[in-house]
Amino acid sequence: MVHTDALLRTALRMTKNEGDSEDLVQETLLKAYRFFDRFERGSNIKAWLFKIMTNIFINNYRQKSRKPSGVSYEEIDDNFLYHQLEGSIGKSADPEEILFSKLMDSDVRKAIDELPEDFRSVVVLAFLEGFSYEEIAEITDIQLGTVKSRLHRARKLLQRSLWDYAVQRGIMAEGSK
Amino acid sequence: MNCREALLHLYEYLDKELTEDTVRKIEAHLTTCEHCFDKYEFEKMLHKVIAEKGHAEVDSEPLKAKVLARIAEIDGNEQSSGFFSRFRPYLATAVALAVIGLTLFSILDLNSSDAYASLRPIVDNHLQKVVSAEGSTVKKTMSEIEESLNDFVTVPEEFFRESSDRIATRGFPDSCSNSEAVHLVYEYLGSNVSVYIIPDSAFQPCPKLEVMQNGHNKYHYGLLDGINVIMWQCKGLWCIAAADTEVEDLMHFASAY
Repeated sequence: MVHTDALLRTALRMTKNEGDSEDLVQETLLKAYRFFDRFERGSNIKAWLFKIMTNIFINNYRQKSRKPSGVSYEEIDDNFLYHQLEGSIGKSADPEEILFSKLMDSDVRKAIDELPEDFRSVVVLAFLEGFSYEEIAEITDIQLGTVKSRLHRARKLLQRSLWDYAVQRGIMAEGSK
Repeated sequence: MNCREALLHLYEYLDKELTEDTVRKIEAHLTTCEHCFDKYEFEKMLHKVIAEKGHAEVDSEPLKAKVLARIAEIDGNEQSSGFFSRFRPYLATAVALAVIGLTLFSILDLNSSDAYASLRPIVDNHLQKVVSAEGSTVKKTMSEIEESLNDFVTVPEEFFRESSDRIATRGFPDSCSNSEAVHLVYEYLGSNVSVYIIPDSAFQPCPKLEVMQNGHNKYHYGLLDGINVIMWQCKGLWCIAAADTEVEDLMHFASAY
């Protein structure tokens, strides 16, 4: 059972809950076992497993109400964090170094967990599992262009959250906005 | 390549989605432009930080052991009767339901909600037993189906009337004939498969369908009004499976049923 670690840690970010993530992976592996005869030899087994898991997740775990996220990201610039750091330059010699070393694992996970669900899954698949855009499109059954745009927006949201945490925890002083 | 173009490709660069040629052009630009170089370095670091810190450490060993035990259990149950036997309990249930349905319906008023209410616990109980024995392939319990349809629906006449090749994809049970059937919904490879079991040996499949002989069974299959269907006879009952999925998947489903 290769990829079980990868499935489990991804399930944890998708369900945000340890018990659910274990159930989800167990169901995924059992289903994969049952339908293993349908797996095309030589094709990408990791992507196949993740597709099964994503389907189960969408059908069984995802909250039924698909209300729009209500998060606005349009006003966040590209390279938001970079620009925020530029604004705080002068207060310390190397703000990037400080930001990246002081941001805790929990900050990054919280930022991911707080993303709207559709964005969260592409972020986890792209950043954390290193799937290509094409593989993500296949796994999540969405268009390639949608994968790209979700990833782009998700990056903006992540950057803003990380900046907010850094300010809250006093790592960074709020620079010129 | 200018700065605008270089920054446009920044994220695709980080995600390794660019052609070698574009990567080379970008890297050439970065050696000459400090501004873009800084941005790229920053975003690279951020990407790395998120990738490294985003995942929790997990220990999947206990889970693997659990899954292997479950698989051994399933295999043990299947060994005597072969690979496809996993669907047999569903057929048994379906037959049982059809029998219960027919018996009760012949005694009680078909359309009375009292009759239905007395039937439901039996049906639910049956389905839940199958679910707990076999994982969760039955997607909906009867009580869930109840909300949208009558459990013992009448079969859309379009399934078998020569005059039409339509399936009632909408408006159940508006366009139905008078045969009673059990309607079950299975989840199969991520799609919902509707199965109608018709306790009626006089049923004739729509002649427009293709016919395929497989072992002892004859399968009638094809596309009806945009939905793939497959129908076959089993122990005097007709089974009709319909799903928004490839016809090959339905074949597979049917042969495993």
